[in-house]
Amino acid sequence: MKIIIVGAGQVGHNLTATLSKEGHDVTLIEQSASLCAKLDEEHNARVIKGNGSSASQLAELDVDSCDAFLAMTSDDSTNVISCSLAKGLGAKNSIARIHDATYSDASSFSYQVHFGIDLFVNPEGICAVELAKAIRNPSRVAIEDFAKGQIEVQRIELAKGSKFINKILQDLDFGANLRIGVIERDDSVIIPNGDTELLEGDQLTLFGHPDTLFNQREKFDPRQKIESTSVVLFGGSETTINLVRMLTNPRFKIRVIEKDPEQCELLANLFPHIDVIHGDATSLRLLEEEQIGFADYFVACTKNDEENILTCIQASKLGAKHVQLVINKSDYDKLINSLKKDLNIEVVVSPRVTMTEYMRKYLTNIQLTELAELPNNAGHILQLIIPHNSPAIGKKIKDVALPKGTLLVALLHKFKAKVPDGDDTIITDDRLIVITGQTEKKTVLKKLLG
Amino acid sequence: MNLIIIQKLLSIVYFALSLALGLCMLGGLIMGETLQSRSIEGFLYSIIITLTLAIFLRVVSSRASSKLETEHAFFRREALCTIGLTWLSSSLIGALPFYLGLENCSFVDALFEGTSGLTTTGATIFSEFSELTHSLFLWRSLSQWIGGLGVIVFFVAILTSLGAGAKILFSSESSVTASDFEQGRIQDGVNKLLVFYISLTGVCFIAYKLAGMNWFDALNHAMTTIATGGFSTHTESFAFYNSPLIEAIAILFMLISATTFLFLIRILEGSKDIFKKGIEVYTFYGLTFFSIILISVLLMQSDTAAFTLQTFRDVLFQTSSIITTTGYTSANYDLWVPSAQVVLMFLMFIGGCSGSTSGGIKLIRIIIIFKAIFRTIEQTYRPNKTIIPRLGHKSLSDTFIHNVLIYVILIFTIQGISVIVLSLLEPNLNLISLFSAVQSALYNIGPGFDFIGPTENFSLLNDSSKVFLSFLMILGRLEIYALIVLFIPKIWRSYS
Repeated sequence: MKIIIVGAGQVGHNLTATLSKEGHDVTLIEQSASLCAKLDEEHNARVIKGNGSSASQLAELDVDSCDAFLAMTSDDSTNVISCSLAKGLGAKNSIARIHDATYSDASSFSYQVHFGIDLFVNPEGICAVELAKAIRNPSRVAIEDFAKGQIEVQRIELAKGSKFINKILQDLDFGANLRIGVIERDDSVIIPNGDTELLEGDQLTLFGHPDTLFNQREKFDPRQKIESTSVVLFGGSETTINLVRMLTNPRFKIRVIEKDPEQCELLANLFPHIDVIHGDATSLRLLEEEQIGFADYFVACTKNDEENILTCIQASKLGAKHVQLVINKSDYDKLINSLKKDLNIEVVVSPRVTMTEYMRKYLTNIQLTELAELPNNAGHILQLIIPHNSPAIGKKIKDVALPKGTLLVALLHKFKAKVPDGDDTIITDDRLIVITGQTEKKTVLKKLLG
Repeated sequence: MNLIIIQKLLSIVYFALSLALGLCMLGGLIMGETLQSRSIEGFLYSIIITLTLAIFLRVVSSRASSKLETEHAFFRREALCTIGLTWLSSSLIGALPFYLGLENCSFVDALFEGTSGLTTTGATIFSEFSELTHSLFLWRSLSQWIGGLGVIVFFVAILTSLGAGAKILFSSESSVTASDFEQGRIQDGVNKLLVFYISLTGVCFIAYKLAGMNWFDALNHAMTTIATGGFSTHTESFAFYNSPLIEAIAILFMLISATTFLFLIRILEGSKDIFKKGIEVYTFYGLTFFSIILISVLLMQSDTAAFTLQTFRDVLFQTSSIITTTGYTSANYDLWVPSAQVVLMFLMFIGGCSGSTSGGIKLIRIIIIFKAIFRTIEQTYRPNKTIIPRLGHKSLSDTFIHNVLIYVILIFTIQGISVIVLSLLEPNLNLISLFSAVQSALYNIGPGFDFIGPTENFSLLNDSSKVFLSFLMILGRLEIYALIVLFIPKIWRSYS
């Protein structure tokens, strides 16, 4: 794959290293001559000194023939201009790194459509997804999340007292954005269809939006009462803002502790529903006064790794139930990961590493990935990318006529992921998550991939 | 919420209160009451109840604290709760001797009297003092004397074990902050304050005695004068003595007690630069002087013939008694012209200096508000000028001014709502009586106007309004916040 990367900062640098190692044809554009010289020696990639937002420069690099154009500088405007140019010049995919959340908010105006950019990525936002996973659904299954955490997977027992017992699936309405993917009954595994009856004691694997999943949980298992979760965030950084945006469910009682009074005011203005506490969370007295010991989650998201680590240890000692932290410096990654258990830290997230992982996942051109295998060889959970010559293109899902024992649980159009219903249309480059039985696998692949 | 430390502190307060009750009982015995007399029995039961409570809390808290390491977790929240709970429960304990020791005293009456004592209000429900015994007189005076400086300051703040927590306690109960002290350790500062308070009371006692009171009256009046409380041992209050000398002594000590104590201490210590910081004190004496002249002129204008030296003496005494929120009476100011009464009513609002034993809004807040008003006025025609309001050498931050404004708005709001509530509870009272009853309770003054005027008392009110007014007294004494937070459910739960 031919990839052009603009900006050799922490993110761009790391991407160049990873992607070039994987055998891609990588070109890196960087303004600083000294940095160019240094990187040229380090990586098996073409390093060009130049301006990534100059059209003539991009044309010179044959941007029209590149498969992915990644603008990864720390400046939003540069990234947007470069990507928009590259797309205009014919790049297949353009991806811009964006800090400011205003760009990714498409509720009134789509910046992505306007500038012709395929994907906005935000390292802090991706970090927040990682941090939010465990907070939103502690009992989720370790299957990869889909589309920036818009769809998650969860296993639940259909327990005594649930109204769904002995009901046929097509009579049930648990609203949009939720699907039962797999039913495990005794020793057998069932991929359900509309005629399947639910029985007490069934182990269900649910797919859906995290909030929907959480809210519906009680209906499947009445023992699981929805309790409020107290989340304390240390530092009012970009990651914090993204994390607060993800934890919209009112059951989250969020407190942010931030040193800078102006940042406090900004946060309090942005999120009227959360408590913003002005103070230094490295102070034991403040942690005690705020009763961190009773918090369900303590997440350290400041830019200062040392403070993050020490405050997390402190919070864990005080009795905070789950502790997570962000590590910015790559130097600490291994160390902290090896000490995680001893320090009682549950999740360690590094923006740089998660970003690279995310980009790799996005850039993969493999049409078929097996995400997981069902027990007893009963079937597979597959991710498919629809190629441009697929017979399913332009068809509604109900018209594709997938065989019984097959289930579509997630559909990603460009940036929006959802649990699909029969009226959704499949188009090129859509990503699908399909659960299919062993015997039906072939038919499914033929119908969807061609 | 760290309930354990609150229980511990409460138990200390109860131990100390039972000691105070014991002192009053002892005083009664010395004055010739017998062990079989009802009031001594009442005291005995009160002591037993209070001690039981103290021991119970002590046991509960020590048992819990052996399991938990919570000694140091003492924050503003715990401090405010401790103060609120202390005052609520102390008022109930203060009521016990009246309820158990008197034949015809309902519990509500006893509660009103006890609260009125502790909060140094000085309003009474006894129309006749003939029933009251020496021990009960002593309890009325002693409770005012303790409440004057603050129950917590008296018993708890001197505990070294609390560390910096004592600072929060002190600032929340008193109208000065701990930073006003010279001393680094709050306990040293409070000790100095206590010594000053006790010696001032001693001097006052000697002065009264020399001026002709018997020693029992002198002791009682000394305690209630320094506390600016206003309980007297005579139904007629100071009119009983009709002595210019005794009144002069009372005026002197009332005014001293309404002056910022720390200011006086610094003068006694020979500090010279303190005179530059006394803007509140100077304003206080200026206001007192001005009010006396103003009321005299108003009275003279209305009836020149009736204005005698005796009237001037009354004006002098009554104005001092009102502005210091003491509430002693030597003359019936209800008979004065309305314009003079209006002046008195305004003085009731204002009260004395901060950091004294007087009630009211406190003069310093009025000064700050006026500075803020003048700043705003100047900025309307000259918006670009940077004006920093100053108090002496200290510049006042916006947050500080803001807090003062909010406090004044809050207390006025409470006053307004309370008048409405009281009017529903007391359909037969007229407007001026309703208004002044609330004012008298909320600002810890004692007497009001008309039905509860200087020659009247609160005995004719309903039970419900007595309870309501008792609550207002504590609210006013604690400057609202420490009491009001008790009723906010969030404070009792853990933060989330």
